[in-house]
Amino acid sequence: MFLSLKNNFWHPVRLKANRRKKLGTDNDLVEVLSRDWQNIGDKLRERIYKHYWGYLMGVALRYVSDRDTAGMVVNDSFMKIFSNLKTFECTDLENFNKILKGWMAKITARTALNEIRKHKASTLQEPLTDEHDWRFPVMLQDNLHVENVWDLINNLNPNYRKVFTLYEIEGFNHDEIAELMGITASSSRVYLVRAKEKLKMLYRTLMV
Amino acid sequence: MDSEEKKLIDEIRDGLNNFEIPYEEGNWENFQKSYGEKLNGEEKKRRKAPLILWKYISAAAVLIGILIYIPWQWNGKEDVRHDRVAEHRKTSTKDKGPSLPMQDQRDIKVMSSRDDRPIAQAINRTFITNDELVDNAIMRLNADDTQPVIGTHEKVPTLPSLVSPAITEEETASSGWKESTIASIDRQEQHGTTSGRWKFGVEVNSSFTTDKPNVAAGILTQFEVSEKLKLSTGLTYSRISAIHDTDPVQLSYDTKMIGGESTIKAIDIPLTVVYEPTDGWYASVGVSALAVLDEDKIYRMESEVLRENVVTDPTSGASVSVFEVIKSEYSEKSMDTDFEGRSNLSYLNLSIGRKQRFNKRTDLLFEPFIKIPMGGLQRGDVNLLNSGIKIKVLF
Repeated sequence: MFLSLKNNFWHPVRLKANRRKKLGTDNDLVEVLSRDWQNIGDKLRERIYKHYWGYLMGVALRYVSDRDTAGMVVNDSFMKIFSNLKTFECTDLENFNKILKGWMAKITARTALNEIRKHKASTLQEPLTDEHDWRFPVMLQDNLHVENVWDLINNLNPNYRKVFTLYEIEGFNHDEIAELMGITASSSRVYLVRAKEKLKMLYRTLMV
Repeated sequence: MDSEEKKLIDEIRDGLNNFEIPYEEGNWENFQKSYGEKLNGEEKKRRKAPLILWKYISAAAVLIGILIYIPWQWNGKEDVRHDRVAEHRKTSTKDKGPSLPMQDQRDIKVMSSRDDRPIAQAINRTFITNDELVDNAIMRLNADDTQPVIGTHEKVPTLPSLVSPAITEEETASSGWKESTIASIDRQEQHGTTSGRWKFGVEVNSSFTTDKPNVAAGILTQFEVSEKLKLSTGLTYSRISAIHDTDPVQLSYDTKMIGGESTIKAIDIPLTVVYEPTDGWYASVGVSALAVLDEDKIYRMESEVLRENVVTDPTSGASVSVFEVIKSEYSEKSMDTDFEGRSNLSYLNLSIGRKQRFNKRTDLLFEPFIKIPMGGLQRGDVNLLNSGIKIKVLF
């Protein structure tokens, strides 16, 4: 019985097992998605959610500090992702996962910023004074660990952190950041410069 | 940017991009619980929208089919009636004798089985065009021969009594059939054919509900039920913007929703009755079913930001904080929709118009209109009432 099942490649049980095996790994999920991401069923949706949840939590935590809010942002983002997956475009299938993650991250960043805008308790925009306008020379000692990176990011002023991550990590331009944050593009540029200076200063004080 | 700074930023970027939290069990179930219905609802709506569209298109097709079928049926019945008139005539002539010249043929429509041409019409045409000529067509209705035969035309003096309406009335009364006068026969000749009663055309219209103009374009067909009454239907693609008349809602201490706007792309299928009391002027009333293809809904938000400005007093050199409240408006796209995928969306359409004959076959129509939302379109907070002008070309 076992032999006949083993030899019969087209046996339904075998096919199901093959399919499970095929969809079993994360790489396979990306491969399946890259072939037809516009028509996904409930099963695939669940796998996408479980696969990218951790990554999107990481994205959300760049903007909101508490985990519950980040979880809510991620769920809102997944809702938008599933609703708009048909509109996602990717011609470079070699880098499908990277492009898809970038697209998802942008949606999550926007959702997080909207969430902040809705519930912010106090938005004291930092004045554009010259008080931080000095440069730090920095020498990297070794590769940074993830904890170190988060230490650096968490010690930034919220607006600097937002502009820095939106520009350097998510890849928005200054005009887009200005629109997202309700500031001017020139303010965004200034915040970015200051964020970088602050990061160098923090690196010196915290890491070295 | 120096290389060390670049390296630091790259390190941070890599660190953040590679940062992932291990999946925590139960999150998918929570997501499904909170969003599953909404997600499935959206999918259903997306699937339902083309179905609704097809429903409306099929309804329009059936309607057009019925409108085409009924006039043909009427024509068939008229033919039968004419045959019965002929039979009746035949019977009455039989009483009077085997061969009787018909003195008044104005109101007789007898179908000859040889060429299917109304005999009386042919006769009357001759009669009208030449006063001196009386088409003395004689229908020889032989008792043995049931086929009506048209006699030869002869020039005879006009007899006033032959064209007297009194005789016609008398004759028609005695015949027991309601028969047409020359004028009505001629009119019937004009409007009698089904193809002559149908007109097809295109229309564009522009209307206003918000500061943005709504535009629509489509095709239409019009069936002439009678000289003054027409039925019209068609298919119009329209884009409608609607303002949400809502009171501001305070969402958080610094953000409030001050309104919204919906933009709808829809197929409008109207059924209209057109009454044309005088040549060139008309009024119409009808209903139209709306199948919404796409809907964009945005909320207009207003946020107040407290900004602190630190200024230095030039005399004392002390730093002073100055706070100011900055109001900013922005739009946020809504995930939900009010009309997309819903049925029972209709408009009551009222209009008056002016028809201008462009050439023998083409009419140009200018039609100010008002569309009053009904059914599912009748919402208190979304104002979809719109009015504007239609321009139609009918062939």
